[in-house]
Amino acid sequence: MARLLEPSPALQRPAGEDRRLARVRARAAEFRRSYVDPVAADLDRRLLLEPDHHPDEVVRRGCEFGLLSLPIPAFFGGRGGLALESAVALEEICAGCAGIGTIFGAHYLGITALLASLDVGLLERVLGEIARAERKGEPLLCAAAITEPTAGTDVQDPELLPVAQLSAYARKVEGGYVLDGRKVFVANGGVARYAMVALALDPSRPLETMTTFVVERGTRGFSVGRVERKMGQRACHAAELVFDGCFVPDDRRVGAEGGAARGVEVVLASSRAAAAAAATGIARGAYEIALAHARRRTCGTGLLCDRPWVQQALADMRASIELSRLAYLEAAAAFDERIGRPLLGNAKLLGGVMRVSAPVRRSKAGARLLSSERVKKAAAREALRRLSRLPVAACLATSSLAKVSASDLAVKVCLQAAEILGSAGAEERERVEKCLRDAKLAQIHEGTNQLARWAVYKGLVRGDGT
Amino acid sequence: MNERVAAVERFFKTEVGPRAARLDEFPAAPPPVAVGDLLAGLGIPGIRDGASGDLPPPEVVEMLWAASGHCAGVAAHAAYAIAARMVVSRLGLPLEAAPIALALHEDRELFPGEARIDVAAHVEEDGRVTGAKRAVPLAPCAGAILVLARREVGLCLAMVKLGAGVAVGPPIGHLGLRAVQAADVTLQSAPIAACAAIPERNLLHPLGVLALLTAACAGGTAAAALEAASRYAEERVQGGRSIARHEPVALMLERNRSALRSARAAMLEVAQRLSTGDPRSWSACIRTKISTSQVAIDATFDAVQVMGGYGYMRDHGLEKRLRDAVTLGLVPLDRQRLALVCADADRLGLAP
Repeated sequence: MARLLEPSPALQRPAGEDRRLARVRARAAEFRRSYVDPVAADLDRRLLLEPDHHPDEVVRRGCEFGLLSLPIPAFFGGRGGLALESAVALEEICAGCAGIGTIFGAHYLGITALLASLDVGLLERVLGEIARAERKGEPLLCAAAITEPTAGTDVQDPELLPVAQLSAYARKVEGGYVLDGRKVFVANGGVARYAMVALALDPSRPLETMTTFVVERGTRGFSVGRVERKMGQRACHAAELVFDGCFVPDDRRVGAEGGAARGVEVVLASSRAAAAAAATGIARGAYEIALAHARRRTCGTGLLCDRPWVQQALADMRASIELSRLAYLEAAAAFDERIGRPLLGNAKLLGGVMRVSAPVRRSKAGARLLSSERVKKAAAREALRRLSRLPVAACLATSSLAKVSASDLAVKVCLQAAEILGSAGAEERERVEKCLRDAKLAQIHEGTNQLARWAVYKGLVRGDGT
Repeated sequence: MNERVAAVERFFKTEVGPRAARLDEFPAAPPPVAVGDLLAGLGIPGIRDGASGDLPPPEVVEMLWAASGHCAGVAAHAAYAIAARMVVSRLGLPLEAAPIALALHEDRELFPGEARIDVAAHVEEDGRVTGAKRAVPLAPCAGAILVLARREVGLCLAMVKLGAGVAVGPPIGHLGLRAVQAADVTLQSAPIAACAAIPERNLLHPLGVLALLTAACAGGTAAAALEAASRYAEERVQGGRSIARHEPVALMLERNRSALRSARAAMLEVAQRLSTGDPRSWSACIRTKISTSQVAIDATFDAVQVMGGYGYMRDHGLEKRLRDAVTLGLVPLDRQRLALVCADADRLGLAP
């Protein structure tokens, strides 16, 4: 059934890239068929009553397919994919279960937050560890914690951050920082080994002082609070992270103090394309169910798929999916070409790091050097220098456009699928209602569609004609 | 609002609303008889197990709209029971004390086009009925089931009592309206307690009644969703002011409020026509359902959107309304099929 939706010829990319993407897509599709499809319905039902449950076995299987290290650069032991490959993999997985797909999506979000900083010490430590663990079949997950109980939209846009009602803060102490407060709705929050947490150092200047920290599960003063019971995408935790006098050493600060606001923009420029891919996958899953139903449902002397209204609806759904796919592929490719590769390319600093062999980088002395304040600040300056020349706003606008379009179309496709099934569309056993519940979150997470539209306006419309 | 409607609303607010979350947790929901307990024995005419065949339709619509604001599932349970009794009354069949379930759907298209009706369930020569009906609402708690079946000549609605020849399957999980338990029903030479022929065109009556009453439930739950979202928008501050002051949010809320007001007015007008017994009102009921369903779905989706992450979480109660509104948009038939039924009936001159 996955073959039904091979990208059309219009979407062909350069031959080498095509082959690489086709391999990623094929592997993710195999993972979906083998390990996601058989458990999706039962998992969804179980999670209604046990929201704390985590499908560890399924995620563990993801290691066999290299899904956890997909966006990790090769010189840290990963698969070397960027936004485009991650997005393609997410579409495939989410066509089977968006909840399971979002576990990987949230993991990629955390990785991107680190990559955007160029903090080579943490990149080596965290990303290297994830890649090594994956080779042993052990899934180590990341999470990114941004949203606070009274600040959701505000913390995702630098124009709104100055007036955000923040309630979680970090303060500098000898040797590190102490974190206090709560973050909410953190995807993978209950199960991640590493959480990238963005906190302001000065409540009166959040834009200038928002800083990201890597907090490891088990750190004293850090705990997981409530795990939310969601309408859909239940397989991925949305958890509360609680910081109560949580000390993190200096080397767990990501980049320089105050770098998080810019970092959030870069992360969203990638993650909204991924969110669009996930929405496309959800729509595809609903379409596949509706098509199969129409092809077997008796309708008079023929089948339901013989009815013209059904044919029109299916064509409309297919068109929506292709449009969504075009949008996310374009956004993800734009990110890779205009931000990802320039940022992670052979910059003076990273070039030097790349020339140092892995055992040296991972030795105690090597790790100390890479985590030193001097190297951190040099990396942060380099990251800032590079990012100041890169079209972050334009890429953010493109990915926001993809996210808005794909999520709205996903909801529309799921409703159309439900209507094709008729009253059976509301029955759990037909599975299309799950797609609809999953699709709704796509309009909310990674920034609500209202915020995303504003990013489109700022990046693509406001300057038009000037 | 008249006294009866006000009494129903008070009842739903105090007795049903607080239990709505629990009733939503299928399969952990209490057995259907508890829902019946909630409706029965409280001296509220019109709602108690659907003993309201003679209540004026506009009053029933008002009751269901008000009740759905607190729990669309229990209101829909009442709607199904009331609709079945209205159909039974009109056909002159005996009324049962326990709820009557209306079994229309099978594993095939009921309306395959060209104004035809396709059912496989049939009445045998010995006057017993055999067939399989799909996802029959109230079947697990019904005292009798009204089965749409084919006779030697034409269609009939055959009333069968639960018992010999009738097998009710386990309750089926649904997206919403989980207080309404539905199950597949298998009939194997089930004895018929009573039967009434129903010309195909007159199937528009049960369809129209069900459509109108479920539309009322959809409207009520959507109105309550908007109200909750509006309250949240006043309190939630982003960008330095309450989000109700942000134009996109204000626009979203007001657009939906206006649409719901219009839908409610249209519904009450159609209900008034139905109370006169005018057969042309049956397709009017269906048309009202088509538009109200879309309005309710749009309103609940936008309400959840306004509440953002909180709207998506089960513990805040709003996502349930979205699920209920979508489910109500698919039963007894989805909008596409309802529109085609109306189009076929008008085109072929079969509308009564």
